[in-house]
Amino acid sequence: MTRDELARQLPSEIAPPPYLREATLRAVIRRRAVRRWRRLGASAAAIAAIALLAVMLQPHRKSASDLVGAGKVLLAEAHARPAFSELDKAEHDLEVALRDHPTDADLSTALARVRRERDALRQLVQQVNQ
Amino acid sequence: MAIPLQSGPTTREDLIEATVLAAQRGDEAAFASLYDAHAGRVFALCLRLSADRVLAEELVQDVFVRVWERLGSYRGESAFATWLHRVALNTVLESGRKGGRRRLRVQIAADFANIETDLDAAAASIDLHHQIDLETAVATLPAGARAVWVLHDVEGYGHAEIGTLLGIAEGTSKAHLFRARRLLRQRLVR
Repeated sequence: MTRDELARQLPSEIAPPPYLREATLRAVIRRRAVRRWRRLGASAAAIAAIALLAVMLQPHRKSASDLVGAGKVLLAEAHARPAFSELDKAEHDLEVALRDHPTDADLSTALARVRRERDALRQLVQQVNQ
Repeated sequence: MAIPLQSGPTTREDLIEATVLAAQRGDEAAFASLYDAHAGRVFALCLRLSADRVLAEELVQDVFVRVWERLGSYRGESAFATWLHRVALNTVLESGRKGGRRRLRVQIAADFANIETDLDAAAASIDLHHQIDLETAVATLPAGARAVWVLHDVEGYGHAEIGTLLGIAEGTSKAHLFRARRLLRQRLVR
């Protein structure tokens, strides 16, 4: 069956209302924030925290303990840096998304958790430093 | 052979490719460009299949959110417009399965169940004293007939593929196309 001649009279495009553009791009940003948070929650922060704990629990060597301590600090910071970076990005994305969706409970919860995780990570780093 | 110092996009395809790549890397401005380039086509598809402006706007949002999510899976095996159109079509057809917005799916399913309904029954709601344009005539078609007509005559799908997409037999698709064309002509003559 061939295509109907009538269909050729229809334009292939219909301009959507202008407000839809911004609403759609906001929806995309919100989704990105949530996705980044989900990835982060399952991986980076947890891995960094475990890595820090592992470093902290290593037995001290009697000799050159100061050197070992300094190494621990460096190692802990190296582990923590990417996690801090991911947490900062997630926080930024969630803040941007929350500006557009201020009553979104999922976003608020995610933002609170990002901040809690970063505080916890910071405390771990401080413990290693002490 | 001279090698150009800068090899930026030279053709329209190169430009689209570069924009898609930038969007895949998370560039929001590039994604906005993709929206600008394709929203008209997507909106036309959503509006014609749903015959509901508010629902069509929601569907456009869903389509582009899904495009954003799946952008990483686009490998350039087909034209980006073709890939995006397929994502849009699947989004529209699947939208009814996800709880809340079931109108479109329910309408289409109900219409396929009533293929034997009098062809003119749906025309009764139209104001006979007003001339209606083609777009309006399409919107007033029964949902199943409209879906088949849009997919076949506007979008160029074959009956076998329409059958798969809509979950109906090929013959049912043909029957709906015949019904849609007849109704459209009746309505446009008035």
